[in-house]
Amino acid sequence: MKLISPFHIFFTVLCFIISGTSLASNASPDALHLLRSMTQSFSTLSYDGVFVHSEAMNMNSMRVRHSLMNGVEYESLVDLDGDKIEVLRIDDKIISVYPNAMLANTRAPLIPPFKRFKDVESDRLIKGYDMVISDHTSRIAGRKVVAVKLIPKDQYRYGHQFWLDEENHFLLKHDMMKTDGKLLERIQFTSVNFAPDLKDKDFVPKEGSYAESVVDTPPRRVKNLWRFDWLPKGFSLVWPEARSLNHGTSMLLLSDGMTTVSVFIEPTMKPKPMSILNMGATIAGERSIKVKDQLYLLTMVGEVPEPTIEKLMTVFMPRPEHD
Amino acid sequence: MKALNDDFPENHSSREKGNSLDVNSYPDVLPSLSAMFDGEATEQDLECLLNADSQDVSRQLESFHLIQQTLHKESSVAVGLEGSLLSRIRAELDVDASFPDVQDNTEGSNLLPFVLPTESSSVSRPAWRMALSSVAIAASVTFVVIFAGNQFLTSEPQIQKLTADVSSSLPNMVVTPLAELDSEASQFDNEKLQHYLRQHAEQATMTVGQGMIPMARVVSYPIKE
Repeated sequence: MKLISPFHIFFTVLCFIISGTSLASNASPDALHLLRSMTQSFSTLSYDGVFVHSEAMNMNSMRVRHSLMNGVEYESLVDLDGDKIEVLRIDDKIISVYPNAMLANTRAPLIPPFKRFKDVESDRLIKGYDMVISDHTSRIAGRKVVAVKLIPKDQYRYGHQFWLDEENHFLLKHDMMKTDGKLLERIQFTSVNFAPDLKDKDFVPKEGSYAESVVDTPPRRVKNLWRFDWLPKGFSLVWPEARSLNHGTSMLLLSDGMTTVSVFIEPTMKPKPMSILNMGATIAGERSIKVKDQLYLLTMVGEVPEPTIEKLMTVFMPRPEHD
Repeated sequence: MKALNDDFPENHSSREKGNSLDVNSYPDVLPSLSAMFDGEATEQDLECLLNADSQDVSRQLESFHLIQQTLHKESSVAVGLEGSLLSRIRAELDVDASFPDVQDNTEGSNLLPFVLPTESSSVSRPAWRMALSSVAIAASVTFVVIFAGNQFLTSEPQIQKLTADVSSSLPNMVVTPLAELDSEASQFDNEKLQHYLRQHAEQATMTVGQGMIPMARVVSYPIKE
């Protein structure tokens, strides 16, 4: 018995390791399947719900409605706490609605995207995160949910947890966690109806309000003259080229499949040291860089830890001219 | 210990006779007695002890007792070289007074006479002390550098804790919350930043596949124009 005992232990441990490995490798495709299903549910389902967005000391409730009527997609997002700003989308037409014209002039329009991202980038995701489906079930907004956890593999990104409706995989709760596990941002539905009786008149701006159409000009693509000397694992440029915004600003976009970092670069006259600003989960960094005799202002915005923005700001440089 | 005394009642009773016979005249007695004392005596050892002078064995046994008593009493500081070395260093630091007080030195000073070899206790003490003193200082410098790290370098006069906690390097970067942007004479161009934040939220919405929900962030941003 004594002789067998160590072998017995070794064998048991070996079994645990093998089963653990196979579980881990099986968990990812399932988690990816759930995330993919969640992404699709936003554009295929009809819903009318209220959710709370909270970060640091701020809390804000919003109503989101979405419906497909005669093959046309209608969507609305209303701020319930603040200035009652509404963003409407009818197919590809975007309307920002303000309570009055004065407020409309002081606030730049919100521009939701026209084309939705409808798939998950599994290759990028698995480089940056371990994905685990929690076997513990709970209820959010009165509905049974399944939880998917994204555990960051390094300190350059935040952790995420998604609670998806067990039936239709709609996102009912989303937590973003700091590298030390502390809660950074939470979005949670308090109520949601998946069979809303929505009419097209529900998506018409109210009388007396000030509505303004957003004319979407397709972004001008320009050659990307910049490169990163280092990127966290899984992060890469979303577009092969840069996008030209107004005022001669070029924009690049980095993503790891879950979070994004936007990069803005423009010529400037003023040298600026590095400074970092935070708005809840969003970190913004700014500094000037000198290339030959020209100064450029570099701004980075993203939902990543502050050291990631700081490091990315120091590894941003022009591409070699022959490139 | 009791068992040993019971095994040799005759040795114990003959103790009072107090003869001054030299132990060294019986070279085999000491190892055998030691083995007996440790409970590792062979038949040969027992035979040797029975043949030996009982007074001599008794006297030696008494000294073994004394050593054992001392060992028991001092066991907390005499556990091993590693432990006592640190105590010695501490004690030396206190004696030399050239270094600040590291720790309460009571255990260290208790230890000093105990670890001294008996044959050289009086003769070589000053020399030993000097040597150890320099070693102690050298060792303590290393010790302080390794374990106290920055505390030593930041010229703290009192090195209270010699723990190995590594102070996490705090980033030099000051992160300003957007809400405090006004009070801060910030480098940021607020209007431009708002524009960039919206651009970012728009693209984030496209990339992370959560419908309009990431736009909630933009609505929550405080607006200052």
